[in-house]
Amino acid sequence: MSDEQMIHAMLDGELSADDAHKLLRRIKAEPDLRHQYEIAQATKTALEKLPATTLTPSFIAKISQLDPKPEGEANRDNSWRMIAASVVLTALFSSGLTYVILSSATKFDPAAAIAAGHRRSLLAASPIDIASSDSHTVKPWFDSHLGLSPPVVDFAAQGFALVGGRVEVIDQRPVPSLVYRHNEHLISVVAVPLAIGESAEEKPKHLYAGGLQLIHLNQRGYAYWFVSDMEWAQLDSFVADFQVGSNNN
Amino acid sequence: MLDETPPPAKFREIVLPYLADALVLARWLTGNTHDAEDVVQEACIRALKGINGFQGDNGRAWLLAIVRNTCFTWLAKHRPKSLILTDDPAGMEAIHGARGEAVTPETELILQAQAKQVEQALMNLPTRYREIAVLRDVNGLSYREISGVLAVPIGTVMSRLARARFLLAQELGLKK
Repeated sequence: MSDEQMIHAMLDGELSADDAHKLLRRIKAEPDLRHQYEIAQATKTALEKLPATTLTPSFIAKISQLDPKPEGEANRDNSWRMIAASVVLTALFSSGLTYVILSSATKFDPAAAIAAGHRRSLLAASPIDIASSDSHTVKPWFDSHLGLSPPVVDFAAQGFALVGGRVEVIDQRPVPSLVYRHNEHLISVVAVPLAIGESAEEKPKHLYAGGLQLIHLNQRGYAYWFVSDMEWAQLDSFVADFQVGSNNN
Repeated sequence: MLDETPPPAKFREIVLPYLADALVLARWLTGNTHDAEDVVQEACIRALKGINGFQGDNGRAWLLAIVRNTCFTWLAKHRPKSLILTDDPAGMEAIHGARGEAVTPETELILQAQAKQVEQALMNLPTRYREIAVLRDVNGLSYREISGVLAVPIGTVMSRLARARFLLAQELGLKK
């Protein structure tokens, strides 16, 4: 890495503290380096001060209305679409942008509720109500608090350690949620008991909600929701372990 | 891998939060907000069509890569002459002409440059340098994210960014 690149990397916060410290000492001692540093810093500041590019509400509304249908289909009956679009746009303008956001939230979305629950748990003083790596402690705790408990298995050997459980309230129903840890990440496994007639076995589905990754699957009487900020590959591997482990339990 | 979230919902989750970032990049690649909105709209249509294929964890880098490609297609169609993707300093001289001697003190000059001058200086940079300066200092992407968007190694990000800021300093009226 050239001195010049080091200077830019330091200004961008991409240099280790140790390297930055050494470089700063050299900058103090060497006038040439100091000169380069000052120019780089001034240039960066000038760029950062560029006037902001602002999104207009009409543009956001336009993008929110994009239709995923193939072009041929979308072009059919164009005049009708134009009128409809202009009506929608007028409505959006008059009621403001909040309308767009609120209208998408009117229907209950379990994935969004579960993602929100997971996030709340991370912000709370503790993400768990019962802390234990012992499945024989967590399961009776759920039984006594909720009258039911999903199979509780520890996957510490596979890198996913059971840390405990908490009660989530999803769609006004208290449901058990198991909490696992993988490195720095926490995984919530929300287990919603299935109603009679709901399909007991379903393959994993991948979803996004609230900026988090979710996997949903039905297994042995529970609809499981796995939610975490882990990458898909890790979450997939956990779900695969979970499917096998909780089925044998 | 199954994914049955309807595309519009996934689009709202992954793309909409980064609409402002998309517009900023397009604004500096096309040169004005009006064209940038057209490009971003086109890019969002592409993103919507491809959303079910997105499995990464960085929606912003993913969207910006699409915006960038859409920009280049758009520029090739509307302004083929502006699209200079060169690392060749000789070519740069030919485009901008030789520079005069430095005015001192340089840093004072840059700091006092008005927003208009900076804007013009940035627009004078070849696309390759302009985009990296914008991704870093306007969008605020990390080197790793930039490396993903531009599909180049981190080492290239570093050398190109250093070069971009150097050229911008030159445009702002000084020579090292």
